[in-house]
Amino acid sequence: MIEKVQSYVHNIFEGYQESQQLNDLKEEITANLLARIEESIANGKTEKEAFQMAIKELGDISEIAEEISLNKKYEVIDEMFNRNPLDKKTALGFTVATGVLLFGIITGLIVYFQMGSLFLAISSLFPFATISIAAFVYLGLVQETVYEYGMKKLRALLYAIATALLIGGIFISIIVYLERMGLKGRIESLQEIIAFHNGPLFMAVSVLIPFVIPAICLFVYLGLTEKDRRKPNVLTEYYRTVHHANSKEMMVYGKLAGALWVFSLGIFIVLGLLWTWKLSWIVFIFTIGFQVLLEAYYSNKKSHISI
Amino acid sequence: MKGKISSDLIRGNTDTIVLGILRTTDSYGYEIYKKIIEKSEGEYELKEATLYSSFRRLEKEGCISSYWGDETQGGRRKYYKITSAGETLYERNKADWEFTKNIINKLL
Repeated sequence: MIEKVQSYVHNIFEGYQESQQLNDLKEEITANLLARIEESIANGKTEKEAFQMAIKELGDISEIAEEISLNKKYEVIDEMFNRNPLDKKTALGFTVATGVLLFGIITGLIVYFQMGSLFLAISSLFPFATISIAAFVYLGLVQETVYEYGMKKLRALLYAIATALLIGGIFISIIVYLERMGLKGRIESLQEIIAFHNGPLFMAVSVLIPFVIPAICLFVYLGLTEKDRRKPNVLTEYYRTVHHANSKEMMVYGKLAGALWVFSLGIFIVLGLLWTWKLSWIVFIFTIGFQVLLEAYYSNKKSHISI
Repeated sequence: MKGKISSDLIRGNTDTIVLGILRTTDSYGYEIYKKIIEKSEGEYELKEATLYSSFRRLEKEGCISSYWGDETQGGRRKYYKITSAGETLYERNKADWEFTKNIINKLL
């Protein structure tokens, strides 16, 4: 009987937009119909009579289904068209950051073509690129979107600092490398570079480490303590389909990523002490690769279900 | 001459009737339905669909809240509970009705 009532109710609402509200209504109606049928049977009616009576008494449900369905449609339209426009401050921030970055790139190009020195060109690009990219990260994170609230300013600032450290470190180590190599943009032969580059590379890596390690530690910390910023309407959408499986999955992901970095740091130190610091940093490249794979795997899994 | 029930008049008061029933105890759709039929001594034939619209309206206005029962067999029942806003609305509607009733009695 339960199946019969369920399929009857299901059929009434065939063709209406699926939503949590509609499913709730279906469940409510089913339970009430069953209560009524049960009582009729207890009063001596046959199952068939009881069912017929119950659905006769139900009356016209289409109006309320229509209303729910319409609400759902409005919700979807709302999500599609009501994108929050950027507020003026943020828009100005993005514009300035873009300007700074462009200025840096153009200055770098001018320096390179005027003086023919890659070292000087990169050096002049360095402050502009670092500042503007950190600004992009900050602005992007504090920005509220249709699906997510903006990040807290302090937290976004920490992300921006970590980014600045990482990018600044990479720039500085490239600059150090180029300066040591004395290439000045002209490469005579590959042999020359290989024969000559051990010293400069070592310098470059030693300069890189003090920037990269704090930056990565900061990223790991921030990543592990990340809070959910999704908006309620997105969340209900999400939990409806995924239930609890996904939060568990994300926890596993966080732990895996954390473990990955701890391991690689350990391997880096061990290799450095036992073998050579010159090469042990390569571990981090693999780590970043693994991290990206892990992230791709989990975000792929997520997007399948939630959207 | 036996009077005929004015469904329109009653329908306009469905929300208040539902509130009146929920004032005594939390309840679910079919039980509320039965209580209304009982109270009208079988004179008023109400459709369940009317009740669902009423529940939704009242819940949206914050006059009732709902929760799921823990039945396992035959689907969970959705129980409704009156809120203090619902109590207030009930009292006001009832006072309004008394007032209107008196006037109509005088006029007819």
